Amino acid sequence: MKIFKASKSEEEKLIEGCIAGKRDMQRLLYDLYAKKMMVVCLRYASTSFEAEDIVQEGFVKVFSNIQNFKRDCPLEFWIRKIIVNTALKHLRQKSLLTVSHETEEVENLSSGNYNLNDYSMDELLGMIQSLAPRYRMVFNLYAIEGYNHKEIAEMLGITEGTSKSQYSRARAILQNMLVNQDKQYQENVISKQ
Amino acid sequence: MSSANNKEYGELEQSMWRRFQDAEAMPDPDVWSRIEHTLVIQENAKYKKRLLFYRQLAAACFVLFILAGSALLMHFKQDQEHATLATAQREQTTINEADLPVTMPAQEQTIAAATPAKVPAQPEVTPSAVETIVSDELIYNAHPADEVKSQEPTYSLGNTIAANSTATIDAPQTTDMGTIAGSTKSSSTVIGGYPETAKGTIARQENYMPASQAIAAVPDSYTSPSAINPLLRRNATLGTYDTDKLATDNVNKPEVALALNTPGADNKQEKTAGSNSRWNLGMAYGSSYFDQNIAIPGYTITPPRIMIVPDPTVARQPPGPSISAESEENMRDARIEFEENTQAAMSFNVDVRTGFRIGKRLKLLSGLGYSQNSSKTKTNYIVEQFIFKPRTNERSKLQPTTVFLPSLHTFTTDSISVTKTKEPFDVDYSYQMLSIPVGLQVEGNLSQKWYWYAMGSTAVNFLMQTAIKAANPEISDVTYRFTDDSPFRRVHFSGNVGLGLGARISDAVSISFGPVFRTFFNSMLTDDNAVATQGRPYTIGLNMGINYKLDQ
Repeated sequence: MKIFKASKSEEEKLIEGCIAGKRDMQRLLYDLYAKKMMVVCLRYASTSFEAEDIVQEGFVKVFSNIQNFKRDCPLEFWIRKIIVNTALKHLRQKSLLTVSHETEEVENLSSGNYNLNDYSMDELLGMIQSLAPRYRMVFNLYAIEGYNHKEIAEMLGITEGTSKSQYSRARAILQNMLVNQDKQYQENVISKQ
Repeated sequence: MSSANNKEYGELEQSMWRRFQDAEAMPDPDVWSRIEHTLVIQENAKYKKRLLFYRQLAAACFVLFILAGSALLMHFKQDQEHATLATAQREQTTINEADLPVTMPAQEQTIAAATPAKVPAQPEVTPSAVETIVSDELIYNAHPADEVKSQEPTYSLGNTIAANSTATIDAPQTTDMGTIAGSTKSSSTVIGGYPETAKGTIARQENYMPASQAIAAVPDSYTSPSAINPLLRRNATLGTYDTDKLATDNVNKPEVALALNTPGADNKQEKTAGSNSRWNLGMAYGSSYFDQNIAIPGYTITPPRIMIVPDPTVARQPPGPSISAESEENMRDARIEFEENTQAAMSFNVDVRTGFRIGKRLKLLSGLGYSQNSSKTKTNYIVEQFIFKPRTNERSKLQPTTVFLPSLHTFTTDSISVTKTKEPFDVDYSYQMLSIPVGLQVEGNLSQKWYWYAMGSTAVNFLMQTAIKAANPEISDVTYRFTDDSPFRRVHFSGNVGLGLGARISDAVSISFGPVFRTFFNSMLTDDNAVATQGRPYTIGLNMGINYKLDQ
């Protein structure tokens, strides 16, 4: 599929078309941003199916509310914000169902140099997805979306301290995973030799 | 996100951010078709809602039109009946007159008001002032029935006895006084009528006793004005009845007018009653259509699918209850079905309100109300939930429900089965509320009898009971009372607007009717339980009320 990069005026046409409810314009907008948003959703969701559900719900919200887009920020940023909020809402509903892993003890490792380029995207996503929902949310919001702990606390309805502690736990779990992965890789290499 | 630049990231965060910055993943091609499907459903729902609103508005207008038409028809029919009754009474009186040697008492006579009534003399007779009759001297009609009947216009001028009731009658000079007296009686009612009387066609009067005798024969009870009505009777007992004084005395005028049943008296009386009334009590009944506006969440359950796991040796528990593909499909259909089939249903509201007039046209209203709002749907799906007991690991089944009920709660079950029934069944939702409304009403007169009103009010509503009843033996009814742990809000705020017409059926009592619209300012479900975007419920209906003025 040809990748459609919208210029400013094209983006404006796209928005106007979506406001008018033109299905072809909605499809174009979807094609333009769906892939990026899918990765965002994969980071928050536990499964790719769940991520697709969030994408679906998020884009429906985008199309239903696009007339409210103030144009004071890039369209991609606005869509991303909606998708993130949808994902959070999704996880908030579901978090009551899942067994919390928050009590498990995690060994704190010293920060080291991580070359994540050695890991595939699926591996990285898998590591984030394997975190408990609360940790996953806080980690995504802080490390990747760039929110601070105060903002995260407001978004999730927790205290700033809780956000910080959950983030440090999530970070420690990920570090452990990376160390284990490295060990396993080295063992595999040694056994092959 | 504005603070992102100010933060210090470790190596891990920076690496992660770099990797995910421009990462892309292709979603399933099916996702777009699902989005498109949802958009189509949304558009249809919007269209359907608009259509429903216009349908209800049209229905309300139609009902209002029918009611207004019926009321007007009844009103005019009553007037017509009154007119017919009056004519019949007059005819009856005429017949009685024919039988009686002495005719009607003075109250049935018409005497011109204020200025002395000049009865034109007949051409053959030289007109001259013959006799002056003071109002308390009564004039008797000695005409036969047919003559009286032909004089209806004279009667229809009204049964008014003027306060200054001096009637000067020009009568023929040629007749003797006795005859004149008789003729006078005749001419006073004939007024421009029967030349044969003036001509002295005595033959016709042979059937009647002479006027002087007739006067003499009349009993006092007929001739006394105090006999006419109680007020005059009272005056008579108090002293001499002076009509001139009455005529000039403005204070007594309304009383006299009232006593004499003149139309002007009614007007003044009504005005006085209306202006003095500050408090009133009203009871209203409104039937309406209620839209509960509850949305079922688009996503409530997670199928147990295998996700991307970095380490295949690490086993992961799927989040949420497990559900088969068929059940998942059924669940989706059930949600769509709920959105499509849920309809506003017949509801009612009863209010008792006290009104206090705070201006010429403005009224402050408050009171107590009770409403029962209903909504209904037709469904094909039954939701069964299963849980495993923690220690024994036994699988137990919860009471089956419809998609509506489990969707109000977050699932806490281990597995869910959604089955489709052969025949669709009804599910009724009813909400009983106790309301305390406070509002303002503006009203104005359309006519002496009819008035218009427009009202606006706010109310605090306490949800006393919520009942969900399914017409399926497998599903038991659910009822939440005010004190129960319910997903519904206990306290709701609402706003009412309405307008309509009212009719005064007496000085104190009036009835009113008109369309009314009520919208709630919050959703039925509490925020914690609203897993999907909730709309605000509203009702459209027809209000009928009866008002009673307390301080007449």
